[in-house]
Amino acid sequence: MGWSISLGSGVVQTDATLIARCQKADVAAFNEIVGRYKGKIYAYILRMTGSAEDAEDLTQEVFVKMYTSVHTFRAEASVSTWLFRIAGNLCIDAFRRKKTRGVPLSLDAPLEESEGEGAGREVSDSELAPETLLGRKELAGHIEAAISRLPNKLRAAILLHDVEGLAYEEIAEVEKVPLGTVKSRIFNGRVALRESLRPYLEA
Amino acid sequence: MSMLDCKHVQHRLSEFVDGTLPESETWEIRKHLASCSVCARASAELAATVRLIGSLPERGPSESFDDRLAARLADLVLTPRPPSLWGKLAALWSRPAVRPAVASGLALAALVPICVVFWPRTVVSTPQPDDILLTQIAREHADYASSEPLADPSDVLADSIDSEGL
Repeated sequence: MGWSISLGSGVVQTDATLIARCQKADVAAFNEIVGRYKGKIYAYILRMTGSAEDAEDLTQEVFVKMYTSVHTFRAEASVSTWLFRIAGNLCIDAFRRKKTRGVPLSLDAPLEESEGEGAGREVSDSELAPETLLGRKELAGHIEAAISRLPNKLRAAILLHDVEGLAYEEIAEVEKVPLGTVKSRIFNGRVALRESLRPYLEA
Repeated sequence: MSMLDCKHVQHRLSEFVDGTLPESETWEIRKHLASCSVCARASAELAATVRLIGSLPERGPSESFDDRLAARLADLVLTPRPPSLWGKLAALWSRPAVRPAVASGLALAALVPICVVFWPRTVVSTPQPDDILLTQIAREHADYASSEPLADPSDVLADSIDSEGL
Protein backbone atom coordinates (compact mmCIF):
# COMPACT_ATOMS: atom_id res chain seq x y z
CA MET A 1 0.00 0.00 0.00
CA GLY A 2 2.22 2.79 -1.26
CA TRP A 3 1.60 6.47 -1.70
CA SER A 4 2.32 8.49 -4.78
CA ILE A 5 -0.21 11.24 -5.07
CA SER A 6 -0.12 14.45 -6.99
CA LEU A 7 -1.58 17.13 -4.78
CA GLY A 8 -2.14 20.49 -6.42
CA SER A 9 1.11 21.70 -7.88
CA GLY A 10 3.28 19.58 -5.58
CA VAL A 11 3.92 15.84 -5.70
CA VAL A 12 3.56 13.82 -2.53
CA GLN A 13 6.59 11.63 -2.07
CA THR A 14 6.20 7.87 -1.99
CA ASP A 15 6.61 5.93 1.24
CA ALA A 16 9.80 4.41 -0.15
CA THR A 17 11.28 7.85 -0.79
CA LEU A 18 10.37 9.02 2.69
CA ILE A 19 11.88 5.92 4.27
CA ALA A 20 15.08 6.39 2.27
CA ARG A 21 15.23 9.95 3.64
CA CYS A 22 14.54 8.68 7.18
CA GLN A 23 17.45 6.28 6.76
CA LYS A 24 19.62 9.33 6.17
CA ALA A 25 18.41 10.73 9.51
CA ASP A 26 15.97 13.18 7.88
CA VAL A 27 13.52 14.00 10.69
CA ALA A 28 11.20 15.95 8.36
CA ALA A 29 10.61 12.75 6.35
CA PHE A 30 9.87 10.86 9.58
CA ASN A 31 7.31 13.51 10.55
CA GLU A 32 5.68 13.18 7.14
CA ILE A 33 5.26 9.44 7.65
CA VAL A 34 3.77 10.08 11.09
CA GLY A 35 1.29 12.52 9.57
CA ARG A 36 0.42 10.01 6.88
CA TYR A 37 -0.17 7.01 9.13
CA LYS A 38 -1.05 8.18 12.65
CA GLY A 39 -4.79 8.24 11.92
CA LYS A 40 -4.85 4.73 10.45
CA ILE A 41 -2.69 3.26 13.18
CA TYR A 42 -4.66 5.02 15.91
CA ALA A 43 -8.00 3.83 14.49
CA TYR A 44 -6.73 0.26 14.21
CA ILE A 45 -5.43 0.18 17.79
CA LEU A 46 -8.53 1.95 19.12
CA ARG A 47 -10.78 -0.70 17.57
CA MET A 48 -8.50 -3.50 18.72
CA THR A 49 -8.21 -2.35 22.34
CA GLY A 50 -11.46 -0.41 22.74
CA SER A 51 -9.67 2.29 24.71
CA ALA A 52 -8.90 5.77 23.37
CA GLU A 53 -6.24 6.24 26.06
CA ASP A 54 -4.48 2.99 25.17
CA ALA A 55 -4.79 3.79 21.49
CA GLU A 56 -3.13 7.17 21.97
CA ASP A 57 -0.26 5.68 24.02
CA LEU A 58 0.28 2.66 21.79
CA THR A 59 0.20 4.76 18.63
CA GLN A 60 2.94 6.89 20.18
CA GLU A 61 4.84 3.69 20.92
CA VAL A 62 4.52 2.54 17.28
CA PHE A 63 6.21 5.69 16.04
CA VAL A 64 8.85 5.62 18.77
CA LYS A 65 9.73 2.08 17.65
CA MET A 66 9.81 3.24 14.07
CA TYR A 67 12.06 6.16 14.98
CA THR A 68 14.57 3.95 16.77
CA SER A 69 14.63 1.12 14.24
CA VAL A 70 13.99 2.69 10.83
CA HIS A 71 17.66 2.09 9.95
CA THR A 72 16.93 -1.66 9.97
CA PHE A 73 13.92 -1.38 7.64
CA ARG A 74 14.32 -3.24 4.34
CA ALA A 75 13.63 -1.06 1.31
CA GLU A 76 11.55 -3.72 -0.44
CA ALA A 77 9.05 -4.02 2.43
CA SER A 78 5.87 -1.95 2.80
CA VAL A 79 5.80 0.82 5.39
CA SER A 80 2.11 0.33 6.20
CA THR A 81 2.63 -3.40 6.66
CA TRP A 82 5.55 -2.73 8.98
CA LEU A 83 3.64 -0.16 11.06
CA PHE A 84 0.51 -2.31 11.35
CA ARG A 85 2.67 -5.24 12.40
CA ILE A 86 4.28 -3.17 15.18
CA ALA A 87 0.80 -1.97 16.19
CA GLY A 88 -0.58 -5.52 16.25
CA ASN A 89 2.27 -6.75 18.41
CA LEU A 90 1.77 -3.86 20.83
CA CYS A 91 -1.94 -4.72 21.06
CA ILE A 92 -1.09 -8.33 21.89
CA ASP A 93 1.32 -7.13 24.59
CA ALA A 94 -1.39 -4.85 25.97
CA PHE A 95 -3.90 -7.73 26.05
CA ARG A 96 -1.38 -9.86 27.93
CA ARG A 97 -0.69 -7.12 30.44
CA LYS A 98 -4.39 -6.60 31.07
CA LYS A 99 -5.20 -10.31 30.65
CA THR A 100 -8.12 -9.39 28.45
CA ARG A 101 -9.16 -10.02 24.88
CA GLY A 102 -9.80 -6.34 24.26
CA VAL A 103 -12.26 -3.98 25.83
CA PRO A 104 -15.53 -3.64 23.92
CA LEU A 105 -16.14 -0.13 22.71
CA SER A 106 -18.91 1.77 24.37
CA LEU A 107 -22.12 1.75 22.39
CA ASP A 108 -23.08 5.12 23.80
CA ALA A 109 -20.07 7.25 23.09
CA PRO A 110 -17.74 5.62 20.61
CA LEU A 111 -17.40 8.69 18.41
CA GLU A 112 -17.25 11.21 21.22
CA GLU A 113 -14.23 9.50 22.77
CA SER A 114 -11.99 10.77 20.04
CA GLU A 115 -12.37 14.38 19.12
CA GLY A 116 -9.02 14.61 17.45
CA GLU A 117 -8.20 15.87 14.02
CA GLY A 118 -9.07 12.59 12.34
CA ALA A 119 -12.49 12.08 13.85
CA GLY A 120 -15.37 12.02 11.39
CA ARG A 121 -13.40 13.33 8.44
CA GLU A 122 -15.22 11.30 5.85
CA VAL A 123 -18.20 13.66 5.53
CA SER A 124 -18.46 16.92 7.34
CA ASP A 125 -21.04 16.59 10.10
CA SER A 126 -22.24 20.11 9.46
CA GLU A 127 -23.52 18.95 6.06
CA LEU A 128 -25.92 16.46 7.63
CA ALA A 129 -29.33 17.01 9.20
CA PRO A 130 -29.31 16.43 13.01
CA GLU A 131 -31.43 13.28 12.79
CA THR A 132 -29.21 11.89 10.03
CA LEU A 133 -26.13 12.70 12.07
CA LEU A 134 -27.59 10.94 15.09
CA GLY A 135 -28.53 7.97 12.93
CA ARG A 136 -25.04 7.77 11.49
CA LYS A 137 -23.40 7.93 14.89
CA GLU A 138 -25.76 5.34 16.32
CA LEU A 139 -25.15 3.04 13.39
CA ALA A 140 -21.39 3.52 13.66
CA GLY A 141 -21.67 2.70 17.36
CA HIS A 142 -23.49 -0.55 16.58
CA ILE A 143 -20.90 -1.53 13.98
CA GLU A 144 -17.99 -0.71 16.32
CA ALA A 145 -19.62 -2.75 19.08
CA ALA A 146 -20.19 -5.72 16.78
CA ILE A 147 -16.57 -5.64 15.65
CA SER A 148 -15.36 -5.38 19.24
CA ARG A 149 -17.15 -8.63 20.09
CA LEU A 150 -15.19 -10.60 17.49
CA PRO A 151 -12.26 -12.76 18.64
CA ASN A 152 -8.97 -10.83 18.38
CA LYS A 153 -7.67 -12.60 15.28
CA LEU A 154 -10.90 -12.19 13.34
CA ARG A 155 -11.20 -8.58 14.48
CA ALA A 156 -7.66 -7.78 13.33
CA ALA A 157 -8.29 -9.33 9.91
CA ILE A 158 -11.59 -7.48 9.45
CA LEU A 159 -10.14 -4.14 10.55
CA LEU A 160 -7.07 -4.46 8.36
CA HIS A 161 -9.03 -5.55 5.28
CA ASP A 162 -12.46 -3.96 5.43
CA VAL A 163 -11.61 -0.78 7.33
CA GLU A 164 -7.96 -0.02 6.52
CA GLY A 165 -8.02 -1.53 3.05
CA LEU A 166 -5.01 -3.85 3.22
CA ALA A 167 -4.85 -6.64 0.65
CA TYR A 168 -4.94 -10.30 1.72
CA GLU A 169 -1.20 -10.62 1.02
CA GLU A 170 -0.39 -7.58 3.14
CA ILE A 171 -2.42 -8.95 6.05
CA ALA A 172 -0.60 -12.27 5.75
CA GLU A 173 2.63 -10.30 6.11
CA VAL A 174 1.32 -8.26 9.05
CA GLU A 175 -0.02 -11.30 10.91
CA LYS A 176 2.69 -13.70 9.72
CA VAL A 177 0.10 -16.33 8.77
CA PRO A 178 -0.60 -18.14 5.47
CA LEU A 179 -2.84 -16.48 2.88
CA GLY A 180 -5.51 -19.15 3.36
CA THR A 181 -5.69 -18.32 7.06
CA VAL A 182 -6.23 -14.66 6.25
CA LYS A 183 -9.08 -15.47 3.85
CA SER A 184 -10.64 -17.80 6.38
CA ARG A 185 -10.47 -15.19 9.16
CA ILE A 186 -12.02 -12.53 6.96
CA PHE A 187 -14.78 -14.91 5.86
CA ASN A 188 -15.57 -16.01 9.42
CA GLY A 189 -15.42 -12.45 10.71
CA ARG A 190 -17.80 -11.22 8.03
CA VAL A 191 -20.25 -14.05 8.63
CA ALA A 192 -20.26 -13.27 12.37
CA LEU A 193 -20.77 -9.57 11.68
CA ARG A 194 -23.55 -10.34 9.21
CA GLU A 195 -25.46 -12.02 12.00
CA SER A 196 -24.74 -9.22 14.50
CA LEU A 197 -25.65 -6.46 12.09
CA ARG A 198 -28.59 -8.14 10.37
CA PRO A 199 -31.08 -5.52 11.61
CA TYR A 200 -29.05 -2.80 9.93
CA LEU A 201 -28.39 -4.49 6.62
CA GLU A 202 -29.93 -2.93 3.58
CA ALA A 203 -32.43 -5.08 1.82
CA MET B 1 -27.33 -27.10 -8.57
CA SER B 2 -26.89 -29.45 -5.63
CA MET B 3 -26.60 -28.48 -1.94
CA LEU B 4 -22.88 -29.26 -2.13
CA ASP B 5 -22.57 -26.58 -4.75
CA CYS B 6 -24.37 -24.14 -2.47
CA LYS B 7 -21.90 -24.94 0.31
CA HIS B 8 -18.97 -24.39 -2.02
CA VAL B 9 -20.44 -21.13 -3.29
CA GLN B 10 -21.16 -19.79 0.19
CA HIS B 11 -17.59 -20.50 1.28
CA ARG B 12 -16.33 -18.48 -1.66
CA LEU B 13 -18.74 -15.57 -1.24
CA SER B 14 -16.33 -13.47 0.80
CA GLU B 15 -13.71 -13.54 -1.94
CA PHE B 16 -16.47 -13.17 -4.55
CA VAL B 17 -17.63 -9.95 -2.87
CA ASP B 18 -14.03 -8.70 -2.86
CA GLY B 19 -13.65 -9.52 -6.54
CA THR B 20 -10.48 -11.52 -5.95
CA LEU B 21 -11.59 -14.86 -7.43
CA PRO B 22 -10.37 -16.03 -10.84
CA GLU B 23 -12.62 -14.99 -13.69
CA SER B 24 -13.84 -18.50 -14.43
CA GLU B 25 -14.87 -19.10 -10.79
CA THR B 26 -16.52 -15.68 -10.59
CA TRP B 27 -18.56 -16.54 -13.66
CA GLU B 28 -19.58 -19.91 -12.17
CA ILE B 29 -20.71 -18.25 -8.94
CA ARG B 30 -22.66 -15.57 -10.80
CA LYS B 31 -24.41 -18.31 -12.73
CA HIS B 32 -25.25 -20.11 -9.50
CA LEU B 33 -26.53 -16.94 -7.81
CA ALA B 34 -28.84 -16.29 -10.72
CA SER B 35 -30.58 -19.59 -10.10
CA CYS B 36 -30.30 -19.95 -6.28
CA SER B 37 -32.21 -17.42 -4.19
CA VAL B 38 -30.67 -18.66 -0.90
CA CYS B 39 -27.10 -18.08 -2.04
CA ALA B 40 -28.11 -14.85 -3.79
CA ARG B 41 -29.50 -13.53 -0.52
CA ALA B 42 -26.43 -14.64 1.43
CA SER B 43 -24.24 -12.87 -1.11
CA ALA B 44 -26.27 -9.66 -0.94
CA GLU B 45 -26.17 -9.68 2.87
CA LEU B 46 -22.43 -10.28 2.94
CA ALA B 47 -21.87 -7.42 0.49
CA ALA B 48 -24.09 -5.16 2.64
CA THR B 49 -22.09 -6.16 5.74
CA VAL B 50 -18.84 -5.23 4.02
CA ARG B 51 -20.33 -1.87 2.99
CA LEU B 52 -21.45 -1.24 6.58
CA ILE B 53 -18.00 -1.99 7.99
CA GLY B 54 -16.43 0.22 5.34
CA SER B 55 -18.74 3.09 6.29
CA LEU B 56 -17.13 3.53 9.70
CA PRO B 57 -15.87 7.09 10.14
CA GLU B 58 -12.14 7.74 10.34
CA ARG B 59 -10.74 8.18 13.80
CA GLY B 60 -7.72 10.20 14.77
CA PRO B 61 -5.53 10.78 17.81
CA SER B 62 -5.79 13.92 19.93
CA GLU B 63 -4.46 17.24 18.72
CA SER B 64 -1.64 17.04 21.28
CA PHE B 65 -0.39 13.80 19.72
CA ASP B 66 2.42 15.40 17.70
CA ASP B 67 3.69 17.46 20.63
CA ARG B 68 3.69 14.45 22.94
CA LEU B 69 5.51 12.38 20.35
CA ALA B 70 8.09 15.11 19.80
CA ALA B 71 8.71 15.21 23.57
CA ARG B 72 9.20 11.43 23.67
CA LEU B 73 11.61 11.52 20.74
CA ALA B 74 13.63 14.45 22.08
CA ASP B 75 16.24 12.23 23.73
CA LEU B 76 16.34 9.62 20.98
CA VAL B 77 18.37 9.55 17.79
CA LEU B 78 17.13 8.87 14.28
CA THR B 79 19.93 6.48 13.38
CA PRO B 80 20.99 6.55 9.72
CA ARG B 81 21.25 3.25 7.89
CA PRO B 82 24.91 2.13 7.57
CA PRO B 83 25.97 2.41 3.91
CA SER B 84 26.38 -0.79 1.91
CA LEU B 85 29.80 -1.73 0.44
CA TRP B 86 28.70 -0.32 -2.91
CA GLY B 87 27.54 2.86 -1.15
CA LYS B 88 30.90 3.21 0.57
CA LEU B 89 32.74 2.77 -2.75
CA ALA B 90 30.48 5.31 -4.43
CA ALA B 91 31.11 7.80 -1.63
CA LEU B 92 34.84 7.21 -1.90
CA TRP B 93 34.76 7.66 -5.68
CA SER B 94 33.00 10.99 -5.32
CA ARG B 95 35.95 12.49 -3.40
CA PRO B 96 38.03 14.86 -5.57
CA ALA B 97 41.45 13.36 -4.79
CA VAL B 98 40.40 9.74 -5.34
CA ARG B 99 39.91 9.68 -9.11
CA PRO B 100 43.45 10.90 -10.08
CA ALA B 101 44.96 8.52 -7.52
CA VAL B 102 42.97 5.57 -8.88
CA ALA B 103 43.90 6.53 -12.48
CA SER B 104 47.61 6.68 -11.57
CA GLY B 105 47.37 3.32 -9.83
CA LEU B 106 45.71 1.73 -12.84
CA ALA B 107 48.40 3.18 -15.16
CA LEU B 108 51.14 1.73 -12.97
CA ALA B 109 49.37 -1.60 -12.86
CA ALA B 110 49.19 -1.61 -16.66
CA LEU B 111 52.95 -1.01 -16.86
CA VAL B 112 53.78 -4.12 -14.83
CA PRO B 113 53.06 -6.73 -17.57
CA ILE B 114 54.83 -4.55 -20.15
CA CYS B 115 57.96 -4.46 -18.00
CA VAL B 116 57.77 -8.20 -17.41
CA VAL B 117 57.61 -8.92 -21.13
CA PHE B 118 60.24 -6.48 -22.38
CA TRP B 119 62.70 -6.26 -19.48
CA PRO B 120 66.23 -7.69 -20.46
CA ARG B 121 66.96 -10.77 -18.38
CA THR B 122 69.77 -13.33 -17.79
CA VAL B 123 68.88 -17.00 -17.91
CA VAL B 124 69.71 -18.78 -14.70
CA SER B 125 68.96 -22.47 -14.70
CA THR B 126 68.12 -24.07 -11.46
CA PRO B 127 69.54 -27.59 -10.98
CA GLN B 128 66.76 -30.17 -11.24
CA PRO B 129 66.60 -33.11 -8.78
CA ASP B 130 67.54 -35.64 -11.51
CA ASP B 131 70.66 -33.61 -12.42
CA ILE B 132 71.82 -33.55 -8.79
CA LEU B 133 71.40 -37.33 -8.47
CA LEU B 134 73.32 -38.07 -11.66
CA THR B 135 76.15 -35.74 -10.61
CA GLN B 136 76.39 -37.49 -7.26
CA ILE B 137 76.43 -40.96 -8.89
CA ALA B 138 79.07 -39.90 -11.40
CA ARG B 139 81.21 -38.56 -8.57
CA GLU B 140 80.90 -41.81 -6.58
CA HIS B 141 81.67 -43.83 -9.69
CA ALA B 142 84.79 -41.81 -10.40
CA ASP B 143 85.99 -42.28 -6.80
CA TYR B 144 85.55 -46.07 -6.87
CA ALA B 145 86.83 -46.43 -10.41
CA SER B 146 90.06 -44.83 -9.43
CA SER B 147 90.56 -47.18 -6.47
CA GLU B 148 88.63 -50.43 -7.05
CA PRO B 149 87.14 -50.57 -10.49
CA LEU B 150 85.38 -53.94 -9.92
CA ALA B 151 83.99 -53.02 -6.52
CA ASP B 152 81.94 -50.11 -7.71
CA PRO B 153 78.57 -50.46 -5.88
CA SER B 154 76.73 -47.95 -8.03
CA ASP B 155 74.03 -49.27 -10.38
CA VAL B 156 75.48 -47.16 -13.18
CA LEU B 157 78.57 -49.40 -13.39
CA ALA B 158 76.53 -52.60 -13.05
CA ASP B 159 74.17 -51.45 -15.80
CA SER B 160 77.11 -50.57 -18.05
CA ILE B 161 78.66 -54.03 -17.44
CA ASP B 162 75.30 -55.76 -18.27
CA SER B 163 74.82 -53.71 -21.37
CA GLU B 164 78.25 -54.69 -22.61
CA GLY B 165 77.54 -58.40 -21.96
CA LEU B 166 80.41 -58.87 -19.52
